[in-house]
Amino acid sequence: MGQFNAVGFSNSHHSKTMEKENTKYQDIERYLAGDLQGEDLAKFEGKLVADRDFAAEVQVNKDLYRFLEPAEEDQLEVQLKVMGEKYAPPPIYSRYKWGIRLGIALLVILLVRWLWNPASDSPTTAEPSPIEKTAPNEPMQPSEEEQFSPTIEEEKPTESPSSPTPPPRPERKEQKPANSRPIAANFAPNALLEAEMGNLSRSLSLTLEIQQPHRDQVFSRSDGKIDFSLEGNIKFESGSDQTLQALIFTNKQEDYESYQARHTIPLELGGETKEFPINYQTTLALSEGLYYLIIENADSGEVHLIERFRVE
Amino acid sequence: MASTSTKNLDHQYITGILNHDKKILEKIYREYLSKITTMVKRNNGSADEAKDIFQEAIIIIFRRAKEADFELTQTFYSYLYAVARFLWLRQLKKKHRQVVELDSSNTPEDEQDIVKEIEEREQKKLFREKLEELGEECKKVLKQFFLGIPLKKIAIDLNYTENYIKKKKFNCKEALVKKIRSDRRFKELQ
Repeated sequence: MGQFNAVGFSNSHHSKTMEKENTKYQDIERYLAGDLQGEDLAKFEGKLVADRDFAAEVQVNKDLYRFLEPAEEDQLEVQLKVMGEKYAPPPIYSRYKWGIRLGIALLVILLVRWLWNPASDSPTTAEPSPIEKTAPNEPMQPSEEEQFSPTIEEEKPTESPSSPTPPPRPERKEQKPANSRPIAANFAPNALLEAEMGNLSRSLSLTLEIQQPHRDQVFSRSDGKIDFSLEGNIKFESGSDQTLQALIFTNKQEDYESYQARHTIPLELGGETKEFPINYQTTLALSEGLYYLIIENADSGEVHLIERFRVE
Repeated sequence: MASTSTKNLDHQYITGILNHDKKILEKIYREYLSKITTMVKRNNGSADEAKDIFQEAIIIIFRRAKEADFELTQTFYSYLYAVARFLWLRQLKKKHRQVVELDSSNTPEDEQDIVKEIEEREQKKLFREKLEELGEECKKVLKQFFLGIPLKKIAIDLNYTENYIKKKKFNCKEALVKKIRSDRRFKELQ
């Protein structure tokens, strides 16, 4: 008699169940890859029709590809997230900051007028405090019609016709940190490459240091071109010849997926020397945007480094 | 009836979304985020939730606009508002929060197609969330696999043999499928 585990099934029963499960998943993989043929395929398809639970399992396996492979909307999502942060309504105290300041200024003016000439107009006929006016970011009581069919011909945001002109509010630019830049489609980060950014080298035989371009270095265009330089240092064990290459990709996912590099720099290294300085200068015709530098082994494709730079 | 210039502007918004046009997207945010925020806040929501709903509505419109049968038959804002409202209603029902103001009128004209896109997005989020719950190695292997990186390259990157990575991928996929199927939200979406 075999040994029993905690729930009373024998170990041999447990391993048979596992084997059956493994076969099921292997068949699903083969079916999705189009590798099932003849009798096996007919049997599988019959099971799909007869067993709803099995059909659901196969569908989930299919959906893995649909939902986990990169999609065009992923880039849009990243872009929108950044914009959401930029256009999110400010906290309440700063929203009314200018209204409060203007209100105080107006009160001071009225006080001075009254003190100077107490016989003139009473404060009650003065303009209402701007605090009572519509808050800049939230139109008060939009009409039913406005909710469903507003006019949008004008550049400025639509306002309720009954509300007075809101007080001037600070430019959104002033709320941004000094070194932030607006993100255009050309500058939208490639989410896939962002996740792998940095020095990835696992090879014990190679140490890679790149000083230029450094992260987010900006290259300025002149007549549509930039002066690009790749500077750094590679150390590796003598005798381990490697052909490295540096590739420049745009931020577009499809360029990286189809391996369409904008520029390739071969770096052939080898022989007895252990340390190689890299000092490569060239002029590149690149349009404004975000770019990624990838250094990889030209033969195995092993990626050693991913860096990011900008062209403006 | 919308004038020709309004119609052109509406279609510009759709084209801008399809092309990820930064200027158009910023214009949409500037003009309409506050109105959607008002709708959400009036119905038991926060500014952060409104921001998420607004973003999701644009992505839903992006997905719909890519379909061959898509036709914008109302103003862009009306459509955006209808989609955002629809999304928020779904959220409220899920979270058992009270609907305060929204009535049953003003649904998007292509409501069934919108529902389909919303459900696809919810499924996608669920799948990606479950992937993040896997162990570190499974995550790395599957993420690279679904990026289209060959198993041979994944093996080199992770310092394993190709056979090991094949088995790892197989086991990790199996674990992921089990996680997805056992989630309550998956059953609700079937």
